[in-house]
Amino acid sequence: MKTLFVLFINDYKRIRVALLFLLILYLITILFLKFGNRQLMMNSIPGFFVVFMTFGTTLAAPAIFGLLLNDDLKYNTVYLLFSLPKKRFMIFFGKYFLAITICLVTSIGSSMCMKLFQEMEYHNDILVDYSQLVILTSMYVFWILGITCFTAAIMLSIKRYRQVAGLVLFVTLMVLSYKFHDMVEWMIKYKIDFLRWNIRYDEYRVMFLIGLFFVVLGHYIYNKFSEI
Amino acid sequence: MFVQVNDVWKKYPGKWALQGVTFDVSKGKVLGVLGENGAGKSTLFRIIASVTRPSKGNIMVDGIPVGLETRKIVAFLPEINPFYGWMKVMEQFEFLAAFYEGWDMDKTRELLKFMDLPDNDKIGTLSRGQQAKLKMVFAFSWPAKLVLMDEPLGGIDPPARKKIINTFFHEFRFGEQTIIMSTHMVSEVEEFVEDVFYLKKGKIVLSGEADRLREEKGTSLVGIFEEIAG
Repeated sequence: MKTLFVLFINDYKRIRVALLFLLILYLITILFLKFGNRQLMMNSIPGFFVVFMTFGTTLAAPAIFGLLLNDDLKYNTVYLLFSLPKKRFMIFFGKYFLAITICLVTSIGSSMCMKLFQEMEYHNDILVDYSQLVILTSMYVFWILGITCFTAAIMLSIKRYRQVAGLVLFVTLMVLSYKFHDMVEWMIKYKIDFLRWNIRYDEYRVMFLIGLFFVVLGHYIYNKFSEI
Repeated sequence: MFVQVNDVWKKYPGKWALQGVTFDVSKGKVLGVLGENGAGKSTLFRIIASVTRPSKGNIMVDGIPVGLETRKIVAFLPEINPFYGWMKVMEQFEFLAAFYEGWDMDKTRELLKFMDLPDNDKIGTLSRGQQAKLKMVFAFSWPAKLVLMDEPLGGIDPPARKKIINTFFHEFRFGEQTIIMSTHMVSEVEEFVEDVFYLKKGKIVLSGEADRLREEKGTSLVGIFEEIAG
């Protein structure tokens, strides 16, 4: 049982500063959006600052996720981890648990920030609907994170299918970028109607879960089939 | 036989790294694997350590096919530093101790002291020689039945090499540990290896007891190595 959380404890020690920074960022953003003088805020603080904060919380999940897991792909540490007398899933269990928890927490945090952001836009009759843009972006960030993990796992572990995995990744990214571009254009065109439109949080969660599913599947494939 | 390697082949894209390697090692013996760069030594070690799969052939350690079960009794020291650079020395050993039965933390401290290694420094800040010594501490801190050492002396100061090998093999060894080690520094391990084989382009070209080979060829292992590498 102890071995399940050995990496968890060590990784927590390593990334605790990043976690603390993230929590502070959330707190500031939420307080800022919730209790700030909205009229004054919109008049005196540039919109891009709020957008930056909200984007920051959205991008924090994949960033910390990558920070946590990239250590296991390093050329030297895989020697140690792969030679340990435990199933790889068991070795990484605590680490994956931590990574997925961070993703869930940041996802909830991002949702809160965006909801507050949307309220602020609504109250102030702002014509540029940043919150919609942010939520769309974060949906695609999770998608891309998932698909990237999945294809990278195939490329790293099943060398025979490297070209196929590369092609899948390329096509997926092309489709996603086209779709994203299309949706943003559509959103900008009909922005006034969007102001009264309720953001689809259920859709956001589905996209997040699909992304997460591909991340987990990618790691399963990597741990099952890879060798040094 | 404690280690049995039977007709092992390994193919990497466009190249055979091992071609029908077969050998046995008795319990408690020290086997030297000699060969030039690219001869397939590291691939062979990785396959015995069960971190790489062979393309063909089978390997048994203590009567068990290599895999999860054999990893419990094998200490694998790869040529590179396999440790986490951001961990402190003692943190790394506490981490490893959680995975291996019978880990002796007092012995770890004793070995660190013998090697003159700081226990509170981050591994990433240690020199190449210190990191090589750290791998030796890992191998002899727990009662692994088989120790696989791939180029264990790389980076260690020449005057200290013999002393370290001698002390580890004679004072810090857990009972009848079987040791397989590869090295280019044949002269420094010559007196410690009991059996030896030479690997060239993935094939064993010469093998046998070290004393018998010396007698037959009328020269030291260094001389035989130079002749084969020729």
